[in-house]
Amino acid sequence: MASPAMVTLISSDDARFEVTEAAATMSQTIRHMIEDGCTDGGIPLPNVPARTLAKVLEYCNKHAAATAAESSAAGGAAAGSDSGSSSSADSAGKDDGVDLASFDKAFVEVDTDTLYDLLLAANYLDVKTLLDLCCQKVADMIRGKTPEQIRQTFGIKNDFSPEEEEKIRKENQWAFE
Amino acid sequence: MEQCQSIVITDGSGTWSNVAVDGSGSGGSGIEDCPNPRRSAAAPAAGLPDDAIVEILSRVPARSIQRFKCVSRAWRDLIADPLHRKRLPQTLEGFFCSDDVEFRHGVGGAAAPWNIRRHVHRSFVSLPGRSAPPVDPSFSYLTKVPSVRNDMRLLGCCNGYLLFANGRVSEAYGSLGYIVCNPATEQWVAVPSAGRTYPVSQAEAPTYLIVDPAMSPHFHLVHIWQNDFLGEIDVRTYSSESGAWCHRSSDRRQWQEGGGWEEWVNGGAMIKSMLGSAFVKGMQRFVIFDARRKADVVSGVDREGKTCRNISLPDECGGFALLIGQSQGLLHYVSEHVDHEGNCSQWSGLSVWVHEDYDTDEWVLKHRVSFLELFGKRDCSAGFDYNALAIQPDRNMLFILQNINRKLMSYDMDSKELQVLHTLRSSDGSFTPYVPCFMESSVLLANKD
Repeated sequence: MASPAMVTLISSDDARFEVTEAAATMSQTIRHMIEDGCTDGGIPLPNVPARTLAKVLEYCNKHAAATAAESSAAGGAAAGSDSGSSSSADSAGKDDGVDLASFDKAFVEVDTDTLYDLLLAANYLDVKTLLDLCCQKVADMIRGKTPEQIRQTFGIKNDFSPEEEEKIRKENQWAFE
Repeated sequence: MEQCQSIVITDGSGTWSNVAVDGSGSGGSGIEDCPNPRRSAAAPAAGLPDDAIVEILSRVPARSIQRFKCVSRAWRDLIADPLHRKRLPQTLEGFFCSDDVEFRHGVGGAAAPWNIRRHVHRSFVSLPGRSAPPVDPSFSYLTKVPSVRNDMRLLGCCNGYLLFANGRVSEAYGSLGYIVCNPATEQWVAVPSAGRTYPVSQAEAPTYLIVDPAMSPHFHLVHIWQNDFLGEIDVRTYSSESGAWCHRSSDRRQWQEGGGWEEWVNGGAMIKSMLGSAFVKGMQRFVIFDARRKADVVSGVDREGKTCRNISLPDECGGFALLIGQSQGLLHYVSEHVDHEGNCSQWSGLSVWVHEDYDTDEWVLKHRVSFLELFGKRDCSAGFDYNALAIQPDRNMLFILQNINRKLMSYDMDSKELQVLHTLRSSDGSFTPYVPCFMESSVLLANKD
């Protein structure tokens, strides 16, 4: 098998990451850059620091590999069952599904700063499934919280006057009960 | 205590007015007043772009979103922005009310369709504190279309979409079509009749709309026709994707394997559509009277017309079914209940039950409230003294109509607070709870001239 095409990604703090094109193109932003032929000397990602990029790439590598395993399992099954190995490849594919779900779950078990960095990076790099994963995690964290807890969680300053806040509170009284 | 409220009334002539009773104004207008430089300077949260915040908020319950309006100006504006509103979960705005007065005239055979005239009065009652733009309860954008009848009848609402029967109830079903409409976007589409030619009423042959715009732009209709106790049943489904009606009950295997229909066909069952319906976890739920068991049970049908296991109602001595509904993602059931001791009634009031596990018949008693607390008198009966109208989809609240003074009231099960929301013109008619959906649809037609 030919070795897979590799691309080099450069973080905002000039760290270089060598990854497979399959993993890198999980990012629509990077995919477009590759399509536009801006890959010479590596792809600069000025909005993503090395620490976060490493984490994003861990996610992309895992998912790209799972996708590849899935398609090769499907290909093996389609090629014929005479080898007798297709059923094991098939079950390996299914295991990957379970494995991937638990990988995702563990992946976002991080402190909130890291989670926001990941969310921002997923947003900038346009990695849809990672963005969904991070948003769901944050949504699960904030549902049921009070406005004050939200301000603390996100580091937001309350810029309402007490009267204004009271008015909005009153209008939506039921949501506070 | 007078509540702030906004009511939109139409007299059916196509004009409508919106009267803000408390005059405090709402949402929207305040935003233009202050060009808010902070909005861009201080990003809503932790440097997350608006889009990411909306993406997060689209995944939390409507109740949380209402509360988060208080976080900061940036969050309030973000949540109120019409662009974002399309993606955020909405909550109950109010009720579509319609008094469908059918009056008969002429002599002999007065029930004949040509002797029936209808007058439809439609209005929209907004709940206090809601700030979504008012809806046009006259549906003038629909009724001005020549093929849409003035007396179209509202059959139900599902996730912001309304289903109308495009014609009078007593009319032969062969000529009766439907209109599916989203009042928030004023988009709509006509659906042909299910093709039955029997003149039957909506009570005997209900049609349910199933749609979840957050999942798919396509909608489904399920039409169930039954012949009381003879065990004849005909189920037809329509999908906006195929654009055609499909006969489901002609597939006899389904009766054997599907569970539900078999019970209907062999045992006899009757839909009690007066008790309402609820869309919960992919199933349209409604109450049927099971003739074999001589009891009301909750049945259900999915968008393909497949049934599921029936759920027995709580075994309450002296209970009387009033309605079912969806709240906080779970099936709820409201009953009138009288405790007797000897010949004396000890306690009478409403019981609210919640069904949490779909594999069991187990109901949890969520709340009880006596008629004494609600209406100041002990003996009341549904349909005469009051009507239980609906359950709030996002919170523990019931909507009740007190018939004697036509007061529409809300009862909060948590705070036990009773509020008069509005006085209705008439205590007859239908009440359809409405949670808007602001998402533009690729399936419904745009209503642009």
